[in-house]
Amino acid sequence: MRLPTRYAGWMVRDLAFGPGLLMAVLALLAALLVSRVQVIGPLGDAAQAASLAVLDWTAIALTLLATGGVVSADFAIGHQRTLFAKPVSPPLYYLQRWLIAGVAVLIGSAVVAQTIASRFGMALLGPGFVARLALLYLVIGGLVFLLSTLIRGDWLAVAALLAWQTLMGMARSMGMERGPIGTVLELLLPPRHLLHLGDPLPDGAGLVQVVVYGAAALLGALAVLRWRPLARGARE
Amino acid sequence: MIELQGLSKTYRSLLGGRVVPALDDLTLTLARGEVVGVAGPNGAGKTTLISLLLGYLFPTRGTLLVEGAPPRTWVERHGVGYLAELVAIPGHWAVDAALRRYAVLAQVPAQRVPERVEALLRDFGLADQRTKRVRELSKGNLQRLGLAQALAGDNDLVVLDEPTHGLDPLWTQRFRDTVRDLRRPSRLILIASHNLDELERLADRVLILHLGRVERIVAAGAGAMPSAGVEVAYRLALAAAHPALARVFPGAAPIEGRQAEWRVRGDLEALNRGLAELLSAGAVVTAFAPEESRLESEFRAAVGGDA
Repeated sequence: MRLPTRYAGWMVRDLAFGPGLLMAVLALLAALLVSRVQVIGPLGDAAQAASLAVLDWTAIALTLLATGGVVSADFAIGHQRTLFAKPVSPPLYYLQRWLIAGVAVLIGSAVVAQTIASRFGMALLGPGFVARLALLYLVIGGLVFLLSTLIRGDWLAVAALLAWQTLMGMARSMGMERGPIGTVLELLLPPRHLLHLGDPLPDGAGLVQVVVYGAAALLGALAVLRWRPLARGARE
Repeated sequence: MIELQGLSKTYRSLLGGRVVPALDDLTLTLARGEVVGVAGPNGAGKTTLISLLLGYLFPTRGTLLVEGAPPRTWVERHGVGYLAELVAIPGHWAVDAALRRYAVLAQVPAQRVPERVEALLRDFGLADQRTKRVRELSKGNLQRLGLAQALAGDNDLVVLDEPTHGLDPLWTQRFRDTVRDLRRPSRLILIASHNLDELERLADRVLILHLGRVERIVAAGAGAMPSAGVEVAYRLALAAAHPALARVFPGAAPIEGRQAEWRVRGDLEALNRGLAELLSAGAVVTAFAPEESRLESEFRAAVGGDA
């Protein structure tokens, strides 16, 4: 059992002519935005923080675009019936597609990061950046991947989850209590506070939390693909 | 090659409230070198059987093994030449690109992909459609693309679900030639179809499914006899009406609008005896021909009024 590497070129092409165009536009717009911020004077520090926040959200948006429908798009039209009559393993086929999407997210995010780095004179790009982005992709992209094996509106569901999480964070910063249900939900939501691309890599318990969350989502997706029936009824 | 042992499949609604039995206790063996037809009325379980065979669904009870392995394991290792009943290929793909993709996935060696794709485009009459998007194809052309992708690899197991659906008579004929060309001792070909005439021409034997059960297995081909007790209908034409007819074939029914022609029914032996008696009584028989194919008779006998 191995990755269908001979098919990788077609997957790159699907990504480039599918969400790739929108991803490129988004990355360029974000780069344009951060290239125009004020870098000196009293607003310099705030501008840098805002630019790094733009980088975070751009990477997340690129992840949602790249991984949206990674599995569900085929199942929605019944294409999996034709696809997996070929000697191809469904988990490995979709894992390869997910990894290629990750490379596209890395390229798009690197464009924005490079713009910030040159604008603010920061050493942002490097192995540390790749590691932080890989963790972010593992968590957010892994969650979309898992949901994509189960439902159709995968990226929308994760976007809604992240929006709700952000609103809850804002409410808490204004002094609202979390409550027991909120505490449980917090454990189920992606650990976004540990995934800022401008921060150092989380260490200790933080790193474990991120890796376990992302690995659970990724392995969950692969397990569903391994064990779920590839058809719901006789014809679907 | 394929062994089914007490195979059953039941569909359940999400909350388990509604239970729909699709296949019930199938036990049979399918061997390499065979062309096996699967016939049955709508909802008989034909497509469920194929989904189980490809490992797309799991049995509720019983086992299904392909060369001793679970179907999914076998399919991921060897691949199946499979045409789905509903051909679902992304609409934005171009026809030739779609075939190149499927040839790659079917493990056709890289250097042989272009020639394989050209051969498929030529054999299935798609050469002039090669740059068209899949969504722009007519129903017949889409079906031919479905057949072409199914045969992109060189598989020992070929499963075709309603292969002539949407094909015109010319391409239906060509499809029969294709299946004849596909025959080889190491290959098992399974064809599910509503078209009994097609199955009778192509298959070595035909499984007739009804309400999830194998009602009968009919040996196809010109020399094969109908199962015992199966009535067949024949058209009998005489040079002129003969008084012995009513005695020999009491149930003979005149065919409307035809002079001296009757429809007679019975098992094959009884019909032969009657014909001999009629001839010895001096009747001049001008035609004696089956009104329906033998498989149609078997099918009608198996599924009764549900067909």
